[in-house]
Formats: sequence, structure tokens, C-alpha cells
Amino acid sequence: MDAASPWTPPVELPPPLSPAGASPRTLRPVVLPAGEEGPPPHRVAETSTESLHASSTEGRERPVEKMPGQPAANRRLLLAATILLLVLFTGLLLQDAVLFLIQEWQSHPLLGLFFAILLLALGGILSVLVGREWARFRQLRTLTTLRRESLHLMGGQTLGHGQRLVNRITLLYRERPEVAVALWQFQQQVSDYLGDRELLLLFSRHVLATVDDRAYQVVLRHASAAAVMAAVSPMAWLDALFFLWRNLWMVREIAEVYGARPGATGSLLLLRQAAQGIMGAGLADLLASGASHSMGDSLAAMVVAKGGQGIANGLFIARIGLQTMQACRPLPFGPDEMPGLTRIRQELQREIKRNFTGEQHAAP
Amino acid sequence: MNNKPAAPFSARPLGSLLSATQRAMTEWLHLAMNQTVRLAVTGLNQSGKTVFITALVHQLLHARQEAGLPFFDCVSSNRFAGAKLMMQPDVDVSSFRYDQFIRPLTEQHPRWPTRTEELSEIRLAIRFQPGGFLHRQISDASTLYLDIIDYPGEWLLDLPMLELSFADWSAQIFQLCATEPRAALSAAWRALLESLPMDGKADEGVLRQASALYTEFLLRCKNEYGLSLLQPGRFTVPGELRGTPLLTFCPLPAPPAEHTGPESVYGIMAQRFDAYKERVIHRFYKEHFSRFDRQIVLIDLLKALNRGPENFSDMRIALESILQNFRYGTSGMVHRLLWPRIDKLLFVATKVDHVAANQHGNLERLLNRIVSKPANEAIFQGVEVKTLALSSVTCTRTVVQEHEGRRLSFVQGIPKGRDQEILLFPGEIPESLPRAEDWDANRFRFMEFEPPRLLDPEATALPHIRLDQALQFLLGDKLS
Repeated sequence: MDAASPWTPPVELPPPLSPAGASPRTLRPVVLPAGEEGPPPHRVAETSTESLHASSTEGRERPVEKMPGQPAANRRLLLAATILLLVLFTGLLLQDAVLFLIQEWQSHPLLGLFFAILLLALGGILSVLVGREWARFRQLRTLTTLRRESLHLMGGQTLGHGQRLVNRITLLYRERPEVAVALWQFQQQVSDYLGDRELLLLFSRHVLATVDDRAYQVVLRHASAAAVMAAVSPMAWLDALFFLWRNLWMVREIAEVYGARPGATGSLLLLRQAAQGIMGAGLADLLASGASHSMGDSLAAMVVAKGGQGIANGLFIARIGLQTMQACRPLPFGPDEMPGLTRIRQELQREIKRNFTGEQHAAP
Repeated sequence: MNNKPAAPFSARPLGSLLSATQRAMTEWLHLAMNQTVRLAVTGLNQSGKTVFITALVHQLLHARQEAGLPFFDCVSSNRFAGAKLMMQPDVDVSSFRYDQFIRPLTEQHPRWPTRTEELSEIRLAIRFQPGGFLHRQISDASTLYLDIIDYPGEWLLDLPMLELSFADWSAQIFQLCATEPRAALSAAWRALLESLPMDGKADEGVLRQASALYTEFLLRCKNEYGLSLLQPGRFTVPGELRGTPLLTFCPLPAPPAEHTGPESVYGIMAQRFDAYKERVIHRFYKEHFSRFDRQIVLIDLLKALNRGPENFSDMRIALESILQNFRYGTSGMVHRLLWPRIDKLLFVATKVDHVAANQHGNLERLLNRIVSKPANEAIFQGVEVKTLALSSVTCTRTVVQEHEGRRLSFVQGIPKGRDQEILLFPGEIPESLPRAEDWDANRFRFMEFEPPRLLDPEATALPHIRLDQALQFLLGDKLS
């Protein structure tokens, strides 16, 4: 609003010429199925705030990008240095390769041709691999961007920007029937008065919950497998190897559930992020719940160290999994949407118990 | 069983004893888990209490998963089995006539129901599946009895009177009457006080005349200016106390000491003031307030904004006195009276559909600003406080249209008393409290609207805004 008139005086207009007699009830906005790429669904209020925000859109986006502040600048410097190094290295390699080829060519054209084809094929494969890795990494980044934007919207009191974000998120899950059903129900319940925060909360609770369920199943599966493995495995080093491999595999699967297909780099980054999450926020939780879960429990006492170790392993994997879910989810978890460890623990105990009692039954 | 040979340790009786015990245990568990919530609804005058309760009951009776209660977890997660109207628990309290209030709203030509002023009560039974793991193991369905109690907000404003003597209270009222609009409205009553003979024995006729004029002054404050801070609360909502000596007094200027004997006008008025405190205020807190579990306070902020700075600040003071009711600390007055158990307090800005959707956020923020400081104490005492901008029955829709080169968000609906729809841009709601000099006469024009016409009143629920969030806050934990 301009400084000259701090407020707009009230206005009353004659009845509109639009189809008369439409009751407010019928005015629920028609939100198009967001699965297809099409024109963004029109929400009445969308345009109303646009004028307010049109001038400040850039200012709105930018601070979000800059959030990390000083460390980001450092990271950028590091990235630039790495890229420079890589370019130099590749240049050197190329030069070497060309020199080598010329040399071979001079000794015998056929030999030169053979090495040229070999090097070309190698280079092709390498670039395809790097390209794919890069694309997958980018995909993972979109999740992060989506979450940042949603965090921004959820913190404010804006209106009319949420639907676009929701559409972008649903695009990630367009091929899943269970999400489509949830999405349909969600759209039945959307009204045009909902602010962005409310809209995203609703979306998180009604649509993303189905995705969470699937990710939770992945965590559960891997955690119980790791628990059983640790409980029965005879060799510690095999156990450790298996544990690492499990973690990577799970992280990758979870990211896929949330709509990204991380490559090796992405998975490693995610795993690192999850591990950091555990170190930071999870430490107190680990002390409070984990210790009692794995040590004070009657079952753990009963099944002695092995079973306890299995549960501890499983719980650790579950923790990594939950952290990964948090990192991959396009919207932050709502106040009580974050799945807890309790159910996982119960599941692990059941799994180990079954294994142990199974063995006991088999022994005599 | 009798014709069978009696066995000393027959398995049958033991089994039946066991199953009987089991049944008794289950019953006891059911009883322990079937809870009652007493939900008190109050509001400063004409804030839409009746419509709010009617709409709340209506939504609960019509709650289905696909209906518009997405934030009400119990319904949206499909655990809600149904709700039913029940007999009210207290026989000496008048009933909230839901059937009478919902009928005009769902008629072919819908009207607003007539408003209520007395304390009334309605009971609903809500059947639901518990969501918790432990609960589910014990029973597959629980019942929550929801008692909704409707009472005038003015009664809560009486609380500060308890701490005051008649002289102090009178002084406070006269101080209030020194400013407009009270000064003009109270002129007749104060003129009578000037000519009131304070010496000698009191005459019942004189007392009645003075209190009648004072009551008239309060009623004019309420009806013509929409003021909220009106003490004593029962004068404007007398109920069964109408005409009794309990309500036949009024504030008096302190006379010389020789005219304050028990037989004098001042003496009698002071006695009645004390009786009012004891018999009306105390009783309300003991019989009703102490039994409330959750409290909703409805506020019509738009009307206050419409009416100007005096009305607005009056409403603020009234809200602050209402919040005194939730100062439970050891120094709190309520605490000395009784042990209240309200653990959730919801402030609601009603009729949010009278402004466009992009203004809802501002309305809620404005309410937050008004309430947050006095509410701090309540929060400190462990009461969960929330503010919401909602509409019990939505009568308008938001339409964005170009007007004189600017895009404005209009509301479209039929204004009260007319039969044609209009587009109204009622002005924008300020985010913070406007200063008195910012209060241009033309700044706000919020209008009342006619209720919406339902295409199929039998099958569809009334449209609302954020009623589901209110339900979730008030009942969510009891239905989990």
C-alpha cells in the first residue's frame, strides 16, 4: 500500500452479473487433479495477494536460498575449488589421452584406431554415469528446495501460494494409486479460505501421510532385518559390512519413496545428513529412550547380549531411517506426525523373539 | 442348573464367575474411559453464541469423513462413529433448544435464529474408535459425552466485583461514566442520584426507581453502543432474578458518614451489593464455572472495529476482566473460591466470513494481540490458550475484482434485510491495534449477511470456516 493512503476505503458494488443464485455452498474451488501437468488450478484468492507480493517475490525467494549464511559462502568457495581441480584434472587426462593416441597412431594406424575407440567408449560410459549421478543429485535437491519453500510458507500467514507448491509436490507421486486416492480426498476438503499454512498442514496430514506410511514400512523392514542379522550372525566383520550396506540401501529406498532416485553420491550425502541428525538432535533421545530400550528391557535381558545387540542395531538403523525420512520429505513433519520408535522397537522385539524361539523349537 | 448333581468344584460356576468378573471389569473400564467434557461457550454481546453452538452441534451430527471437517482428526481419520443428542444432565438448567435454532437456518428461506440470553445446556454423545494403541486393545468404541453450556459473557465480568467494596465499586462505575458515550447515556440516572435523599430511612420505591434507571442505562450501553463492560452482569440478563431485591441496587456516591446506617439508602444498597456478590456471583462460580472443562470466548471484532475506538477499548477492558477468571494462582480470586479445572481456553473472532479470505490472517493476528498479554497468566497456570478466526455459518464468498485500477478482494453475499447480492469491500483489517487518530469514520464498513441457502438441507452440512479447527482444539485430545 502506498504511503499516500494508508488504507483503502470500503466499497459497495451492485450485484455482479455473473450467474445469479449460486449459493456460497457451490463455490468450492475446482482444484484440478494435480497429477497432470496443466494450468495451475485457479484459486479465487490466488490473484488477490499476487498484487501484494508481485513486487516482493524476489525478496521472498532470496532470503530462503541464503539461509545458511556464512557456511554457505565457504561451501561455495570449496565447490568452486573442487570444480576447478576437476576441470584441470580432466584437462590433463584429455591431453594425456590425445598425446597417447597420437603416439599410438604413429606407431600403427590400426592400433591407434583401436585405442581411440576404446577411449571413446570409456569416456562415453563415464560421462553417462556422471550425468546420471548429477541428474539424480539434482532430483534430491528439488526435495530440499520444496521443503525450504514449504517451511517459508508455513511460517507466514500468506494465502494463495500453497496450491502451486502442492501441485509441484504431487507431481512427484503421480504414478501412485494410494496417493491419488488421498489426493482426491484432500481436494474434496480444500476450501478457498484456507491460508497457505493450513493448506500445507492438511496436505501433509492427508496426502503425505500415505507416502510416510510406505517409507516407514521400508524403515521397519530394514531395521528388523538388521536386528535379526546382528542377533544371529557369527562374525563381527560380516555384521559390520552388512550393517553399512543396509544403511545405504535403506536410505536410497526411502529417498525413492519420497520421489527422488539418489545416486551413490546422493545416498552417501543423505546418510551423512541422517547421521549428523542423530548426533545432534537425537543424542538426548538416544540417551533417554535408546539406552532403556536396549538395556533395561526385560526381553533384552532375557535374550542376553546377542538379542540386545540386535535390537540396538535395529534401532540405530531405524533412527537413521527416520532421519532420512525427515530429510527427504518435501514438507516438514507436523507436530505429531513424526513416526516414533516405539512401534519399531516392538516390531524388532517380535522379530528377534520369533527368531530365537524358532531356533529353540528347532533345536530339540 | 438346579436339576444337575451338584459337583463340589464344578467348572461351570467357576467359569461363569470368571466371565462375570471379566464382564464387570470391562464395564468398569468402559465407564472409566467414557468421559464427559463440559464445554462452556460465552461471548461478549451479540457475538454469535447461539449460531456457534447450533452450528457446532449441527456439524457433529452431520460429521462424515468427506464432509468439511478436515482438521478434526477423529472425523478425518475415519474414527468417528456418530453423534447423538441426549438428555441433559442437569434438570434445573434450561435446555439449549437446538431443534428450534436449526430450523430457521435450514429453511427454504433461511433466517438467523433468535438469540439466547440465559444459561442453557445441551448434551451430545459422541461415539468413536479410540486411536491409541492401548485404548484399542481394551475396547473398540468409546463414548464421549459432550455438554455444551451457553451463558452470557457478562457474568464473567462480575468477577472483579468480588474484590471490591460497595464504595470502591461505585467509585469505579462513576469513573467509567465520566467519559463518552457512558456520560451521555447515564445522564438521567445520575440526575436522579443528585436529587436522591440520602438521609433518613430508605424507601423501596426510591430504590427501585434508581436501580431501574441504572438498568436502563446498562441496557442502552449494550444495545445501542454495543459496550461490553457492564456490571453487574445480571442487570442486563436477569433471568429468574428479575424484580427481586437482589437486583434492586445501583452504585451510589459516598454520603457523609452519618448517612450510612443500615436503614439508610446507602446502607441498604451496600447490603444488596454484598448479597449480590454472595448469592449471584459466588453461586455462579460454585455451581457452574467450577465444573467447566473447556471454555470458548466468542468476540465480534468486526463490530467493535465498525463502532470505533471507544467501543474497541471497552471490549479490550472487558476481555481483560474475563481473563482474570483464569488467574488460578494462589493469589487469584477464583482460586480462593474454588478449584477450577478449565484447561483449554479458546478465543474466537466470529463472523470471519464478513471479510475476504485474505483478511482472515490479519483478523486472527489482531485478536492475538488483544488477548496475548492478559492471557499470559492463564498460560503460565497451564491453561492452553488458542485464538482462531472462524465463521460458524458462512454466508459469503470471496471475489477478486478490479476496482478503480486496483485489484480488491470483495465479499459477495446478501446483506441482512436485503434480497439482492452485493459485492462489498469492507475495508482491510489492520494487523495491529489502530491508533485512535487512524480511526477514520469511513475506514471500516463490515456488514451482516443473510444465512446461506442450502440446496439440500437434509443431506448437506452448513458451510463453515475453521469450525473443525475449533473442534480439534477443544475435543481432539478427548477423542484420540
